[in-house]
Amino acid sequence: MSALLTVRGLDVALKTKKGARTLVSGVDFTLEPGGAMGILGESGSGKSLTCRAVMGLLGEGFTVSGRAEFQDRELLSLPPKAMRALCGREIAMIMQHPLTSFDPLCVIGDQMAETFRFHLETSREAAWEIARDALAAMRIADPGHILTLYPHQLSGGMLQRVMIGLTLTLRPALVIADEPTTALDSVTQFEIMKELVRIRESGRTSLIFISHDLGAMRMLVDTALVMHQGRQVEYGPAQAVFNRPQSDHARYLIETRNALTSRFLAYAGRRAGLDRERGCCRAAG
Amino acid sequence: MRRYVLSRLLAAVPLLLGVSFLAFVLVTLIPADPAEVALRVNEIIPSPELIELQRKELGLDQPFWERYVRWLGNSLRLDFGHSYTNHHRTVAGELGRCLPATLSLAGVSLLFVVGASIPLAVASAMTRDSLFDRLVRTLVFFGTAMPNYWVAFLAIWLFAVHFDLLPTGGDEGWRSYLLPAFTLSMTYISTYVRLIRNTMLAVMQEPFVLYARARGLPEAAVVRHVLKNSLQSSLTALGMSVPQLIAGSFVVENIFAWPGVGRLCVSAIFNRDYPVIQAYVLMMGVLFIVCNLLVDIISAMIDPRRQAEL
Repeated sequence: MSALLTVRGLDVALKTKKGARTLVSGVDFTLEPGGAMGILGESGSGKSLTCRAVMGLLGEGFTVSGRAEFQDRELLSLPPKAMRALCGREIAMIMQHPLTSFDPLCVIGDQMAETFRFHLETSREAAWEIARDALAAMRIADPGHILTLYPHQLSGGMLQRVMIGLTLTLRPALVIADEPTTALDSVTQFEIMKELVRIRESGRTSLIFISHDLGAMRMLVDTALVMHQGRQVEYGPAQAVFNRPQSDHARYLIETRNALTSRFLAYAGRRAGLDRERGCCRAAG
Repeated sequence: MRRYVLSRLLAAVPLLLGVSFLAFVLVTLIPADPAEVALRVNEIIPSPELIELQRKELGLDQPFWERYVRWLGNSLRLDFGHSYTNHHRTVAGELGRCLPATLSLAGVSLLFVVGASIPLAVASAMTRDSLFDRLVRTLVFFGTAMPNYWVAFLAIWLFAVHFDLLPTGGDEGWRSYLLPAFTLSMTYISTYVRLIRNTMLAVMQEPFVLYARARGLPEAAVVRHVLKNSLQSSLTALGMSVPQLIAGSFVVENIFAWPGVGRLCVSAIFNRDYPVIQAYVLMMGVLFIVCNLLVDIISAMIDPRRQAEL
């Protein structure tokens, strides 16, 4: 089976008055159908930029070079209109900030329906029907009511689920989740992670998961790509990258995370021990 | 919502009182005796006895506060007294006669403002830094910098005198509207093109625009979302242009001999026709307050985020 997405030598540069400034350079990866790849790196390392470049979502002023082959189509040379038609339908994106990702002046139903109307060429009524079904599939209670609400009337977690529902209804071949849990509280993060695992297990959709959260990434991905200051510093099977990182930066990221975890566990363990000595339960302390 | 409207209405009351007081007191501060002026404008040689008589007749011998309260009470009933220059005409009647001309000129100008600034701003924002955008920005710069009385004369010279296409002034059908409405709206068009263009560029940076594109919406649908959000925040400024167009028309009205309230007011100033000036100032003050109130209420009503707070 041929690869779903092959990216070779992807460079992103921004034209400035002082000349072109390279923001991302030399990104190479291959995503198999049904595969899940994690892009790991600190803020500003070029994770989101790489994905937006692939989707053709960078504005004017950016130049993208290299190759990005998706289902035998070269994305970087696709005319803008054809690329846009691919967005949402074949390659979908789940955004980092659910609260600001919807037009604040439009009800949720309109924004979902307009997406379906464009991609599925249906009537307004049918598109609303599809939107209702999409929310119901996300096990959201009273979807008909949710559709008539404005974004500010919903919580971040709810909007994130709306976004996932909207994404999955169009059955894209590839979902790019750009730090989908960063802006959420930990309970909601867990809920959203469960949804992403569900997407992953459905097997129909490939996933690119952008995060700086190693724990979340371990749950989801089978390959990992580590970025640092716009460069790809490590790429390989997830287990190998996480357990035996080769590059200095990947090792640094992973060791920091492991150190934090062990310190947390040590602290929690000591706490538990103390509580046991005092003969009280942890919940009361 | 009802509470918001009520509280805004109540807050407007002291403001209206303040405006009425200023309208009354500013005119009485002019260093000329209104009674003497009232005689002179009717070409009567003022003598001390006549002035005294006139003062009594106009009620000017009474204390200041009493005069103010009586004037305010009459004004509330739209009775602004009689014009000094023409005793047979009431001020309210004069204003009522001239107001339609001013309102229709302001209305046509507002159409020009909305009809020109929104398409220009959208096209300019969409083609940012292109030749077209730069041209629009240069025109906007000149439009803001050129005073409208100067442009008015240039326009009269070019279109009315040189090419003889349009009338130089007066109100003779739709062709008479073009030049005054153009000069009146020019400054506002420039301001709003810049305002809406810059707001659109700011809105385009919002995550929801990126997400709209990521969802695969065609660019026209994305622009619709951007424009809706930009107009929402430009609405206050656009709404406030309504009273500005009405009050600001007096220069243009005088240049184009437009039979509106602006020209009425200027001739009243030359004639020291105090009741007319007071009524005009009061009317414009009230207009500004009422428009401001309406714009605030409308923008609160159409913004779903503010609806919830109210």
